Amino acid sequence: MSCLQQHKESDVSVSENEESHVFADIMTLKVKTTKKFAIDQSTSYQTLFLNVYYDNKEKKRYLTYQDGEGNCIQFYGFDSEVLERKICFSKQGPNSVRKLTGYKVINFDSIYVIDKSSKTLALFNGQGVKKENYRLLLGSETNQTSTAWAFSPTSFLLIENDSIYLPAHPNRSPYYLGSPFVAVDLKSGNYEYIGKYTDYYSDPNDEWNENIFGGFFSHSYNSKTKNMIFSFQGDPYIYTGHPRNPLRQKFLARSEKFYGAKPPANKALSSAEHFLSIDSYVYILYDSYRDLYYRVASHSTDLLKTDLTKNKSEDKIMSIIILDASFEKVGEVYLPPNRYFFRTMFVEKEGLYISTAHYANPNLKEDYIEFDVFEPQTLLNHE
Amino acid sequence: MNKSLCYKLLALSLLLMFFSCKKELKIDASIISSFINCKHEDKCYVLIVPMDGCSGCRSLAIKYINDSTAMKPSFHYIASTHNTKLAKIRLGYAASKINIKIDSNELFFNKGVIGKYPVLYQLENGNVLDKKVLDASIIQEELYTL
Repeated sequence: MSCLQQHKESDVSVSENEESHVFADIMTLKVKTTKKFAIDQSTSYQTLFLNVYYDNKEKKRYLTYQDGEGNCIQFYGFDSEVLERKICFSKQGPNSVRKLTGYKVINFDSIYVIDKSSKTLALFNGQGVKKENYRLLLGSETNQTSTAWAFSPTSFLLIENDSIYLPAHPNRSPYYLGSPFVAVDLKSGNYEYIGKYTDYYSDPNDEWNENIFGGFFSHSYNSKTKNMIFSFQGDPYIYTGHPRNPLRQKFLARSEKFYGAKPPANKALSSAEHFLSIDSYVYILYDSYRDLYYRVASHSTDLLKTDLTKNKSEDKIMSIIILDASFEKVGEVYLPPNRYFFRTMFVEKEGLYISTAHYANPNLKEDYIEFDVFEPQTLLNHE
Repeated sequence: MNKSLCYKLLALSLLLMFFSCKKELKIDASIISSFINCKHEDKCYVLIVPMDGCSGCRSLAIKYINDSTAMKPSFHYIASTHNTKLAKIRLGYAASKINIKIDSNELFFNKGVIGKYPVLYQLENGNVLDKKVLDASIIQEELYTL
C-alpha cells in the first residue's frame, strides 16, 4: 500500500497565507530579450514537448524539441540556434515509437520516451535502439485506463531510487478518485498507481462531467528542497510533496481575479468550450536561478468573439502569478493576447521563456521557434 | 392539452427544424463556394478536415486523400487550420494536388461548420444535398464506400 493511501486529509498542513487574497504587487515580469531557433521545412513551429538539456561531456546547452510529425527529437545548440543533431524513431519494428508523446534526455545515449499509442515507456540509446521497454497501463481498474502524460518543463519527470514517476491522468469520471501518478520500478518493470487528487473536486455541490479539464495538473521540482510542487487545474492552492504524497503542504496561490475553477452550468459544452468557459490554473514552473515560482492562470472567456467567430483555447487571457521561495504571492502579470503559445514555456538562467507561436501573432514566422524571455523585476516602489 | 393541438405543435416544430437545417446548409454551401466552385458539376463531394481535431480521424482522412484524389475529379478537399506549415507537413504528397485547399483562416471552424471531426458534404449544382460528420467510428466505412 502506498504511503498516501494511509494518509489522512487532516495531515495536510496549511500555510499561514491561507486567508490572504488581497495582494500588493512587488514583482513583475518584463521582456528582457527574444530568442529564436531556425527550423527546417518539415518541422512545425509549435510543439507540446521541448526541454533544455545540458550535456556534461560537451559542456554545452541544447534546446531539445519534439518533432511529432517526423517522430524525432531534435537538438538545437542553445547558442548556435540551429539544429545540430536529432534522433528519429521508426514507427514499426522492435525499436518503434508509434506516437512520440514526450521524452527525457538523460544523456545522448539514454533517452526515456513515452509512446502514448502503445502505452509504453522505453529507454533508447543515441542510435534509436530500444534498451528497455516498460509496458504501462494494463488491467481494468479505473485508473489503469488512464492516459500517461508526458514530460515537459511543466510536467517534471522524477527519477529517484530506481523508480520513475510519471503523471497519469485518469480518464474515467469521477477522475478525482483515481491517482495522479504512476511509479515504475526500473529494475523489475512493475508499476503502481500512487498519490491522490485534492479534495477540491469532491464538493458535492459541484457536478463535474466528463468534459472536465480539472483532472489536468502540472508539476515542477525544487532541487534545493527536494520537493515537487503540484498545481491542480481547479484548485486555488498549490501543494508540495512527493508523487507518493503530493498533498503534504498547501499554499494559497490564487489569481486576483478568481479563486478556483467551477464546473460550467451548461453541461452540454464540448471539452474545448468547457476549457474556454472556466477559470483555471494551467501550469507551474520553478525558477531555480531566482528561487521563484510561476503559476499560469487561464481566465474564462466567451465562446464567441465580438465578430461572432469562435474563440479558441489560445484566445484565453493568461496571467502569471509570481510566488517567492515561501510561496507568498509577490505579483501577478497579465500578458498581451495574440502573442503567446503557453503550452511551450521553460525557465533558464536568462529568465522565463514563453513561445510566441500564437496562431494570431502577426509576427509569427513559420521557419523559427521563437520565444520572449521574461525577467522578473522588483517594482520601483518596493526597491 | 388536447391531441389535435399536440399534433399541430409537433408539425410546427418539425417544420421549424426543417427550415433551420435548410438555412444552415445554405450557409455551409456559401462558405464552401468561397473555396471551391462546384456549380458546374452535377454532383461533387467536399471533405473538410480539421487539422487540429481528432488525430485518428485526421490520419484516416489524409490516408484517403492520398489514396483517391487523383482518381475522383468530383472530389474536393479542404484542410482547415491556422498552421499552414503543419498542414502541408501532415498532408505530405497530397498537399500538392490541385483539388486540395487550405482554409488558413479557419473559416469553417469560426462559423461553426466543423468541430473536431472531418465533415463530408455532397453537393448538387452548388447546393448541399447531404452532410455527414465523420467521427472515428464511421469515417473509414463512410469514405471507402463512396
